[in-house]
Amino acid sequence: MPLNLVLLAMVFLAVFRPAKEVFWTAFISGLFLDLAGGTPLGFSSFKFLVFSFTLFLYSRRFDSHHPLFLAIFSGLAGGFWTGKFVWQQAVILALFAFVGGLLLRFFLFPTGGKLKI
Amino acid sequence: MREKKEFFLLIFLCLFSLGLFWGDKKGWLKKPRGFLERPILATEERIYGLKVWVETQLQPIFRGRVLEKEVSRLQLELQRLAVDQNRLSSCLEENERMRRLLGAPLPAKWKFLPAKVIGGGERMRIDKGEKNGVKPGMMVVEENILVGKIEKVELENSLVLLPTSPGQKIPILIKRPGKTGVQARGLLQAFGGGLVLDRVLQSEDIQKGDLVVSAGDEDWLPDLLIGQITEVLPKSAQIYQKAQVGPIVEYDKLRIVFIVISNGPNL
Repeated sequence: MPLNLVLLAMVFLAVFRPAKEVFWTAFISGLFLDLAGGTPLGFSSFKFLVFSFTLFLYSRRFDSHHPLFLAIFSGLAGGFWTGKFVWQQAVILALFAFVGGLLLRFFLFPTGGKLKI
Repeated sequence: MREKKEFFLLIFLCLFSLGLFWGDKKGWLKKPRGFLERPILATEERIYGLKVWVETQLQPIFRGRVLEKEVSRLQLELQRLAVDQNRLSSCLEENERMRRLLGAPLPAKWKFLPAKVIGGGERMRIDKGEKNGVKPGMMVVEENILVGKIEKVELENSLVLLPTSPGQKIPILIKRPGKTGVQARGLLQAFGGGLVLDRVLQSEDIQKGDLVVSAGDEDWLPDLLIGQITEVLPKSAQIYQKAQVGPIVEYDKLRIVFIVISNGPNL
């Protein structure tokens, strides 16, 4: 079963990096995904941009760094990526997101905030 | 102010993405797309080759088989030669496949184009496209075995819908090995990565081991082997009976396939 790890990376980027950087990365990653996957150009870019924007809207009011939120959002985004809900994809991406969120939140960035590179 | 700029950037990128999507659907972006795809597909081909090699190496461990020392040494030696002389080994493999294809029981009027498999998954990607004369709807075979149907064609590569691709439905005939004639008719459907035989009348006799071949309806070429019945599901009160079908060939292990570019004077 193919895993959409690019989507997972985008979710984490959206939570930990500034908006402008995330939008450009979402657009370019989407183009690469379309070129590699054979889907129409711009299709994945548009989906990534919509997911990132939704995440930004949520993070204005709530804690988007929480591993549980990352898991649920990644699971739903990954599950619905192809248009039809694929629960296996959703569960595995949610697991990855939860573990990644735990590592980042409690070990690297205990006070939250943006990732400085 | 900054938030406004970010919002406008988002709107611009969304509109640009939609514009690209529309342009690609119209076919205006074929040439730039073909140019951009080349390095990406070259990388994908390398990764796919590595994946097949790793699976072959791990096979004895996970399946618990013990290979003879000499066979293991020869397999490693063959892989080293394939890495060192990649082009030559590809040509040798292609020639071997073409010799086997010539010996396969296929109509003489069919014309074939060999293609290398450069990507796997739910759909197979091959290294032949529009500039090689490939068109959507063409069949892809390996000897007399159906591999799939061309779904989408780019300039230099194409996507192949496999029998196991989601949503795939193929009208089929069921034949018993060693017997002539048709045992039954049905519809082969992809389900959860596998194959399920449906629309077989309860009155028709099917059993484990029966061969599943394409019927030749709905643009599918006839008499191409697809799989074998592995289990007939218990009869129910419905009109049709169902069965599990195992593919004859492992699609993710294929390296060279053949596109049927002509199956007679009309194509």
